Amino acid sequence: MSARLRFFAFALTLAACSRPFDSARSDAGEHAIDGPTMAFLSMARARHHEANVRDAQGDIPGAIGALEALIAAPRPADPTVPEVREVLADTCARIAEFELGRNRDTAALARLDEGLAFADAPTFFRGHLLELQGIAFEMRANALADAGQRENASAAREQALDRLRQAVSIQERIVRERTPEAGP
Amino acid sequence: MNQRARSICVHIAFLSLVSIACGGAMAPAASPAGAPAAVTESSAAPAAPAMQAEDSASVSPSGAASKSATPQAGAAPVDSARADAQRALADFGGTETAVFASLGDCVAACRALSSLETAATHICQMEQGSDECARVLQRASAARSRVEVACGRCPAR
Repeated sequence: MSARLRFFAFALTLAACSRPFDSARSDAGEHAIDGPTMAFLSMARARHHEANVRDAQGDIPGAIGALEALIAAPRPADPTVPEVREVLADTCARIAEFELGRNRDTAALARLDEGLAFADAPTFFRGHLLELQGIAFEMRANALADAGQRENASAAREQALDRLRQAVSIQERIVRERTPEAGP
Repeated sequence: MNQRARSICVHIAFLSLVSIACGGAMAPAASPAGAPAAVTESSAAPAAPAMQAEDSASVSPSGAASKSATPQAGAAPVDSARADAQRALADFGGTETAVFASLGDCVAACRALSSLETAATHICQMEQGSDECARVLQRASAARSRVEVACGRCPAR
């Protein structure tokens, strides 16, 4: 089972036990999970599983389609539910990964911008989206450099480094927060 | 074994003991055969004969003394067993939460570490041989050490 499916399974199991998520289980903070949110998380798991299956078959457009269906699906009425925002941010990140695999940096960057709108707090999800943005800008910088556009390539390179530095800072902070017994 | 893994093992062992204790303590409440005798079954007698001699019903799974130690109590042992079971269940809930929290923290730390290392790798691809590359690799290495101390090895991404 992939890490993402394990994440969704873990989230659903905890939700099904009728216990509030806490900060250790989600980056979202503590609150109760209602029925519509449970249903959305279940659908998300199914869509990510479908994407896995299509990816394994080499059907990347199909995998992206499954994830885009999740982005376009009706969401719980409360748009501020952290788990839903995390799932949407993570889904955008995954679509961007598929796009990067196809050397489509523009499509990837569009999805990453969309994902960052769902992840405004310094969580793993934001860090991961920034990491992917850095990779997308690096890809763009390399393509521009190959095309002889040195100034544009340099600008893209700086954007790449900026996003990657932000990703390092966020993830480093999360590692510290989650391993307090390992020292200051 | 690292600190986090040890902690999880201790929690799991504790959960098992509490579960056993719950099963033993709950039985006498419904048993017509006499609660005091049934309550003594709740402890691990073969491993601790000395404790059995003292009346194991007097010690709850959490280690707190109970009123059932007085031999003349009639219905008190049953009440005591119920109280012990309630305490055990409360301990179980708390420990279960702690185990989930530990596992959740390690999952979060591992995926953050993976993202951090990927970002560091790409910085170094663009800034080969630079001080920034050396610094970011050092930060990634320090983060990995922290996670390994707390959680052991992370699963492959």
